[in-house]
Formats: sequence, structure tokens, C-alpha cells
Amino acid sequence: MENGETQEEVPAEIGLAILNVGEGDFKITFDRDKPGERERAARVVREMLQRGYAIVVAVGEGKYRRVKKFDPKTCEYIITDVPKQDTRLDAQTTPAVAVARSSAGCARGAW
Amino acid sequence: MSLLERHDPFAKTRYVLREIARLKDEWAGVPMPLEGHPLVVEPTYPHAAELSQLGREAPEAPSPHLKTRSRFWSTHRRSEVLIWEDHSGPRKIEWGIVPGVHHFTQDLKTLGASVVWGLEQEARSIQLLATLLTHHAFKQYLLTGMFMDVSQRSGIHYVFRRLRPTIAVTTRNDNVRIIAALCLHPIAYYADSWAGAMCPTDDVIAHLMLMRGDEPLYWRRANQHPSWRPEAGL
Repeated sequence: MENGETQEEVPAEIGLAILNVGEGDFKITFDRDKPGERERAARVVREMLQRGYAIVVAVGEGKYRRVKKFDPKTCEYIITDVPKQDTRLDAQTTPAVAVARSSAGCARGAW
Repeated sequence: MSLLERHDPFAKTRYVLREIARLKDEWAGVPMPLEGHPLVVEPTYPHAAELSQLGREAPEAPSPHLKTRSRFWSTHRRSEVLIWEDHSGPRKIEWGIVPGVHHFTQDLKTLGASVVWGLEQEARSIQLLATLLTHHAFKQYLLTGMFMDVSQRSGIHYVFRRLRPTIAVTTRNDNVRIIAALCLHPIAYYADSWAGAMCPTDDVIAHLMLMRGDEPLYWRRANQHPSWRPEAGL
């Protein structure tokens, strides 16, 4: 970068990685201070949840949960844990992986 | 792109489909139709019916004189036994054999379908997988094509395999027993093969993350094969 500045590296884990046919996975990151980026990320996550994508987030050491809802105003993933209570996770900093609806493979019987 | 195209004739098609997916907000991409390899597409995916029909031969019209009575798997014959009634003349009960999957045939089909994947996509998936596994498990995957993980909820051990169904294993009372082989592919897969529409490591990541994030959902979405069926890939 110019003036000898170094660009801060974004950790590979940050952002929403969407498993994708043409890209392997493509990652969505956003800066919540930029309204355009925030709105785009919120739209993408909302649409994916509506289409049945499974968005899985890391909630602690080796623990993962599926996202049930998304709050576009606060850009937080909402997961429901046991006992039933909503936990909110910042979408900007929480690593997540999105998996599209699946075609159950290898149909039984003669092919 | 020109360098890629010199070595990978499918690179341009892959690139075009990627751009179409971006324009249409298809976040998981568009599966690539491939001659001789019909797609089996998740039914709610846009244009699933049309994509599934591409390259598929029209099914033979069923004979009005024949009616299936029963079909069952024969472990001895490693085939399905089909029993039917024939009403074309005096009523007869007939039976025949429908051979089960042959792994080598399936392997060859997978090899043929592999042209749809790009090295770039697979490399990116491997990098993502590296962030999800311990060093030991990742090394096992790179060297053997498989690794194991344990569900913290159920205690079931899962052996995740590249280009094969995931094996769910229980180890109660020091007995190791295979519960089932779980087969699923995000969006679509190529019929009669182990190949998904996504590159192999993307399929592995899908299995891993569904298991970790929502294990009941994982089992609901997957096809569950007994270990003794050839579809289990054992």
C-alpha cells in the first residue's frame, strides 16, 4: 500500500464462506460502518435463509450451531440453543459457512 | 483465463456459469451440465427440472401388460430381484435380476464428471477446510482423502471421505458398528457417480458443517445407506 502502510490481514476464518460450484467457496465480508456493504450482506443472508441454506457458525471452542434467523438492523446471527434461548452473534466477526440445500446422493436401487 | 483455457477446455464454461450465477444471485452457483452425465438436482433449485433433463435419455414407456409386484435386494446376488405380473397372455408371475452398482463403473463415471471441477475451486475449498480442522485431521485428509470427527451431541464418530459417502460409526461398549453411510451433495450430483456438482472438498465441507451445526438436519437431508449396500462405497 502507499506511504509504507501495511494492510491489516483479514483472518481467513472471518466472514461468511458460501460453498459455490464455480468458485469453490466465495467469501462475503462487510464493514458495518459502510451502509451499502451492510445492506448487501443482510440481503444475502436473509435470502439464503429463505431458500433453505444452512448457515453454520462457530459459537465457541469446537462448537457450532445452525443460524435460525438474522437481524438486519444489528447484523447479528440468531441461534437458538438448549435451553431454548436466543443467542446473538456479530455477523461481521463470526466465522460462518453456508451450505445450499442438498440433493441426497446415490439414490437406492438400480441406476 | 487464456492460460487456463490452454490446459482446461472447460474453464471458459465454468467462468460463464459463474458470471451467470452472480447476475442471478445464485449464491451456490449453477451446476454444469455435462454430456453423458445427467444431473440429479435438488428439486427446489431454480430450473431443477430442466437441468435434470439435459443429456438424459427419455425413459422407456412402461408396458401396459406388466405390473411390478415386488422388488428387494439380494445380498447373495448383490443385485435387486424384481418380480412382476405379465398380463399379455395367460397371467404369469416372472422374476429377473437388476444388477447393483459396480464400484469400478461408478469410479469411471466419477472420473468422467471430474472435468467440471477446476483446480482453482478445489484449492480454495482445501484452504477453507484447513480453517475448520485440527492440523492432524487436515493432514490425514490431504494424505488419505479422509478424516474423522466426533459429534459432541450424539457421540457418533463420522469418517468423512472425499468422493464417498460419510460413514457414521458407533463405538458403544467397545463395539465398533457402522450405523449408516450418509450421502448428500449440495445442489446436485452426476447420476451413477460419486461426483457432486461442487468440487470434492466442498462436498466434504458440506457434510462436516451440517454434522457440526445441525446433526438431525444432516441425517434428514442425506440418503442413508446400510453398510452392506454398494451405494455405501465400502
